[in-house]
Amino acid sequence: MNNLNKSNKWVFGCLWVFSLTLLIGYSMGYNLFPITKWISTIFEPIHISLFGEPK
Amino acid sequence: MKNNITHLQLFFITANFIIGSSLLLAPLITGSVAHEDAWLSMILAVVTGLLFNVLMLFLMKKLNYQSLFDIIDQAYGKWLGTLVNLVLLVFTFHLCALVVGNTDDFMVVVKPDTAPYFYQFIMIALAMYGAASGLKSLGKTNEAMSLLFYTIIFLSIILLIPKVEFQNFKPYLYHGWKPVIQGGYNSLGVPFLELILMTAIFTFVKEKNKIRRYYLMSILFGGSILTAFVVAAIGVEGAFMVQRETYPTYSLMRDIHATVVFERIEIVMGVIWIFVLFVKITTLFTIILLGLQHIGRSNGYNAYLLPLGIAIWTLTNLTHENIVENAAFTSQNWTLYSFTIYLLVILSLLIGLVKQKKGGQQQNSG
Repeated sequence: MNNLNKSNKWVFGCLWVFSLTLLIGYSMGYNLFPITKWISTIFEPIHISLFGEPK
Repeated sequence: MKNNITHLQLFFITANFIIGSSLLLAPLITGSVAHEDAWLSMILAVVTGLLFNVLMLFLMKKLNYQSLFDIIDQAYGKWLGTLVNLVLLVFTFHLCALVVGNTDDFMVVVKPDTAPYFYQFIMIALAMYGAASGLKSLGKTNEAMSLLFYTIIFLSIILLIPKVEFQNFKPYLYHGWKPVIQGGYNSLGVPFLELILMTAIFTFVKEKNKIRRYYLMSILFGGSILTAFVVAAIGVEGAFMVQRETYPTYSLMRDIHATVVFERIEIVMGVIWIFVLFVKITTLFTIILLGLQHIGRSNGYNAYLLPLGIAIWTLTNLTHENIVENAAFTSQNWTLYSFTIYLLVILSLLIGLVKQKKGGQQQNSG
């Protein structure tokens, strides 16, 4: 920890900010990283065009 | 040094990575679309998955099994390389959260009076400890435990054989090949395309010349176990019941009555599943940490353990509400999502290979 270089400090800091933002958002009822929704928005229409609507 | 593993440990880690989420879910994912022909879907998924991984292995061998994150940096340069590495890490992070979600979804079914948070905390704490100890420790633990668990799996399959009714497989291809292909497509994404992430740990295998053989053998082995369970689930319970069960493989174990003592052994299957999920989660956890270590250009990754654990726990609770949502998301999106990541990695490997060859030629001419 004492040997943190510049880029290391950035990654370490960003990861903590990301984790705490996500955690605080979740505890207040918000989804601040809706990755599942983003992925579904991109790929679900392609899946439906390939195999049709799910039964 | 703490991450060095043997080729045999790579075999067991890869096999458990494949079996991981799919041991209990594969019959449901394939059976819900391919019905009686789910076993054909599973074979199709194994063969296709094997072919995809052969291409990846071919390129990795040409690149001397370097770290995937290094290859991406070489291919795209520092800034774009970091961006591509981040995309890869987000995929791994998402997958890790979904697999932790699989654990608590299952445990809530087995023991509904305990909060899912309890299982999530335990699983993430174990993964953090496992990742801090390194791949070497995980490899050794996995190697020792897997032998015992595979023996139980084989014994279970043998005990199920007399209960298989061949009528349950009929009619063959009643709805044609389309549902079979769709079932295979659904299973391809969940264990086989995700395997592209294993390229991040090839660099830690001691005997590199044995990677290709043992890695392909592990895919065949893991795929065969999944196929055997799909066949057993359809043969014993029938396609109709498989579509309606949340965990068909788990229910299947209830049908084993070998002696008065050896019955109701489904919880053994639960224990095996939890263990293979632990292996998968710890492997994914380690891959994310290795990626962060690479981006941060640091000597170790222990500093990232706690914030990553917090982020994965939070994302686990944000990805889906229940198993139905999870299964729908996985079957409709996961194959395309993991295929996109697969293409990105393959493209990175190709660019890395071309750049390495050009660099070599320039050095020779200079």
